[in-house]
Amino acid sequence: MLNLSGEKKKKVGAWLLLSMIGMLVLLPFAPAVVMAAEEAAVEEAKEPEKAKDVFYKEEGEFGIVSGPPAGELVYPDDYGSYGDFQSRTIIWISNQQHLYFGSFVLAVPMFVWVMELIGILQYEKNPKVGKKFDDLAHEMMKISLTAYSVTAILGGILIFSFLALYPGFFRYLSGIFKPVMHIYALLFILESGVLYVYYYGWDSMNDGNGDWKWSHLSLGTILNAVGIVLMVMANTWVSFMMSPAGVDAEGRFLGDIWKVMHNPLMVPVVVHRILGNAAFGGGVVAAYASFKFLSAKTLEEKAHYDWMSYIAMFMGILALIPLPFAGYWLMREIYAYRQQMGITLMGGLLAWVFIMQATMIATLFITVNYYLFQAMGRMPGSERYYKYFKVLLAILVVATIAWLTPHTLVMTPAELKAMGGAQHPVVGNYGVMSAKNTAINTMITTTVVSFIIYQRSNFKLTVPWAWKGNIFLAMLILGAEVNILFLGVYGYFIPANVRIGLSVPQVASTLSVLFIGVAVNTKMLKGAESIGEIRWGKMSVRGAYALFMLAVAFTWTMAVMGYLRSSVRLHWHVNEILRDNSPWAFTNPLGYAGNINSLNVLLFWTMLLFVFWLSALAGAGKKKVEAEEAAAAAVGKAVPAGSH
Amino acid sequence: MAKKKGSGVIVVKVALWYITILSIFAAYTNWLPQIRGDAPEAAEAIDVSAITPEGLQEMGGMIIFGTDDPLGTLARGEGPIGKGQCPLCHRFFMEQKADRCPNLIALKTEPQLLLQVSEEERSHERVKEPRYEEFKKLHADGEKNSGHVPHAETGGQYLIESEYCPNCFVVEGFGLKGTNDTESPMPIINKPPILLVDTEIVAVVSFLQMRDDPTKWTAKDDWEAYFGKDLASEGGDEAPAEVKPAGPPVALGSETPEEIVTKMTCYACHKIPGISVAKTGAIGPLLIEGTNAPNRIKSPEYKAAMKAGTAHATTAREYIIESIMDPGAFIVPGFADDMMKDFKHKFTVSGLDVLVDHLIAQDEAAALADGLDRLANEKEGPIKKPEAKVETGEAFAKNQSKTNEMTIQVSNKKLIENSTFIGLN
Repeated sequence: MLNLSGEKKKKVGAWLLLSMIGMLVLLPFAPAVVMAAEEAAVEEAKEPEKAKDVFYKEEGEFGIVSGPPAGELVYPDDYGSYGDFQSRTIIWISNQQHLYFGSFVLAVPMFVWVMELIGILQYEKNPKVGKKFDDLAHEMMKISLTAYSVTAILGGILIFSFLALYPGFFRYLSGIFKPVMHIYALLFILESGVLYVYYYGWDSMNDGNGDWKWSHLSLGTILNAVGIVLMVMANTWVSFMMSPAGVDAEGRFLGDIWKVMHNPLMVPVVVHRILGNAAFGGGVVAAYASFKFLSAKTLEEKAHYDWMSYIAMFMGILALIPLPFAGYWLMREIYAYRQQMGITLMGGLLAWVFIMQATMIATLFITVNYYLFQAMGRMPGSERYYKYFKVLLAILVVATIAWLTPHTLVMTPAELKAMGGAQHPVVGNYGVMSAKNTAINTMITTTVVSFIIYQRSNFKLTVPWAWKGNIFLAMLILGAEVNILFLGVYGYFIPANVRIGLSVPQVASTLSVLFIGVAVNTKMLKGAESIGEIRWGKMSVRGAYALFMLAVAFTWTMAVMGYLRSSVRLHWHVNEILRDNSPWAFTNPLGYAGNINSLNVLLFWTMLLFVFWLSALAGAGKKKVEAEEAAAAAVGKAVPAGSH
Repeated sequence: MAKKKGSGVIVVKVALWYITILSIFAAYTNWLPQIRGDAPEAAEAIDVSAITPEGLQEMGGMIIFGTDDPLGTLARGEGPIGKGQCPLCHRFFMEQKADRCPNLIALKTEPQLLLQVSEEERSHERVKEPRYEEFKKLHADGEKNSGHVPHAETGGQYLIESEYCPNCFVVEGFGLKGTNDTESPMPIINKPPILLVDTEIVAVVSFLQMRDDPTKWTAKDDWEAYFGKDLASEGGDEAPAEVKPAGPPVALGSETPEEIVTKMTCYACHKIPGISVAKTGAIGPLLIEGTNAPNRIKSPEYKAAMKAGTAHATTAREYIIESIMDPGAFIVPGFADDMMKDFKHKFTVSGLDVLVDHLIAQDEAAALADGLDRLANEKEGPIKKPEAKVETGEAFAKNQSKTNEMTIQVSNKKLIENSTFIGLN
């Protein structure tokens, strides 16, 4: 057993543990080394056939044929079904559920790591605050642990669904990814091992801010690193299906698994996914905390969960703000990969889905602002800023309307005739990209302004340069917005290929407000006089329900974007390589997707409720034991002291 | 107990809130336009000989738009996108927003458009551009993605080439960013994901050529000239069996010129050398197009028709096709515009080829050999010169008295007495 008494022993123990983890990290790569040796032996034995890569050009254009062609899938031989039910919908639901839980268990450790780090750093200054953050991290981890098992079960269901319903497709994809399939499985084992040590070692390794605590945080680092590698690997399958590489035109594997994984859309999809996961994780934890806030019976409990929901929401929003820019980048890469794929998304078959996406993003931003306005109710002195809410809300509503205006409208023939076309002569102008970019940048800028106000709402500035800082902030925000508007209008007068470049300076303006604005505001708050402490636990019930809305909007947005990403392959399992020859090769209309998405979200939250209940059950059991122990201790002490 | 009840109420309230939000989102998606994207039918080898040029044009339209009413689809707020996916980037109508690739707006449908040349006309200019020569040099060893070497000589061949090898020529201003207009954003159309077969590509080019002017159809010839092989031989070793279309009689590629002329009743109006049934027609001109067609397109009357925008042929072959498919495009001086106008529905591509091949091979010598001559109202005048009258007059008089018909059977050594013959008509 661990003996924590000696300082040296602690250090040795910590290093031993880290070394073990380090070796475990290297373990998954052993099969790859063996396989590489086997492949080299096979290569020497016969003259290899070379073929041209479907994506890589010039250097690395040709590779050694190392697998069978994708061939033609035949229905019903290569597909399975349960009666008349769409097999694809079954895969859709099992995939989405696995993805939700997978995202959650990968996102939560990211938060936990940040919270634990803050806790350690705060410990020296204020142990109470340090412990507060540490407890928060621990509680988040507890939820994640139960969700982890559900993720594994859903992963199993997904694989069985593939084997039963899409055996031909699964055979091909697993054939391509054969060199890394077991690495993935071993990493999963490693992830589980690290997770359990991390969670169950939380209390025993907690020595405030000592070596054991830092070692524990290192475990958290490894946990997150392995989690991200797992997510990247799973993403490479998806991005390979969208934009295959490392295979020839017949779909034959060309021997280099890195080229398969490092396909043209891999990096932007991964970046988008990490940010999306973080935002989603924040939303889920915020909803959990809101639920606990509403059901808390004591002010202390309420204060804790009010604070927890705010922190989770804040972390989620931090990830949400760069998400649209990651989205632009992904879309740009899609256009660069296949222009018609980009246009199918933005101006073709799937264009209406973006109206739905726009609705979700608008919902997210309006909800966040609404939450901040509500949250200011617990900030003494925030009344000074209430008058600005109306203006901010008006800007958000106008931006949302522009953001939601479709390019063409749904009309009856009579309406169509009266208007002279599907595009309205005035309103139609807001249906183009210039207006959309302007709207979203305005919405983000407005949200940053709300946050700046929130930051300073219970403070009175004391720095001598406060007035200069205020003028600078006002000029920064105003200048950025003028630039965003000007570029938006200018976009109408230039061709599309030039116009697309305007999004960069627009985004730069928004990011300037975000980074420079928040930094200057934080600097201005240094040494500021507090009007009153934040009254944690006093947030309105509406604020808590806003966070539920936020969580649902996050999950629904993930679902609709998943439908979009998957549908853009149209009738291909693997774009341009393996055609979908099943009866479900068509792209479902948006309404059907909306129904399945809502079902998926409901299913996820129902299961999550079960997970919350489980963790509460464990917590309740622990509290009961602690209470009994405390009672017993009290009795034991009372007897010698009291009765004699 | 009280605590549990409190939590239960909150669970119910939160669940109701969730269900409300999810219902609103689902209802909203159902309210938005519902577009189902069907997977395109797998391409099949198409027997081009069994389709009329007009049929090919229609097929091309379906490949491009996926509907026979693209404007109606646009008006409903949907994108008319067929398996070719062309309208994603090319603009075909003013109502459509697509400016990533050169526009392909039809002049007929958009007369107000400032662009005063059709894509068909513009295609001829492309191959004459100095940049085309530069692309030839650039891809002298074969373009890297398609393997093609740019070698289009006509507008039609250029359109064909663009489908198989978009990088073989990139219109200025429409190249991929950073490539100095040397790489096209267009996918190779006969490869995934579009994956059109050869006949479908010919159908798309037919649509482009015939959209403004049905007589401008040369797509099949362009394809065959570009690839130096027969289009019908594509799609495997075994050419598909010729399908006889239902409906009115249709000229097929498997038929002889004699059978086609008989089926289409050309003999009722025209005399045609080499066709046994076509010896008496006296309503339309003698069809010796090896001689007539090159002269007609140079004639001031034809040039006037071109200027008026009705006629468009620049080669003998185009002139013959135009005369069959659009008889009103140019009326031969001395004749009325009374030729039937429905031949464009009745000729398959290969059937038309058979007849055009036969007509273009006929000249004055063939007519004389067959004992045929022009009608009196033909501007060119008789083939048989007046001075030959003395030498052959006896023979003619003999035949005339025997048959009292307008057709004369003559031996190889005898000639027709033109003036007398004309006089009889």
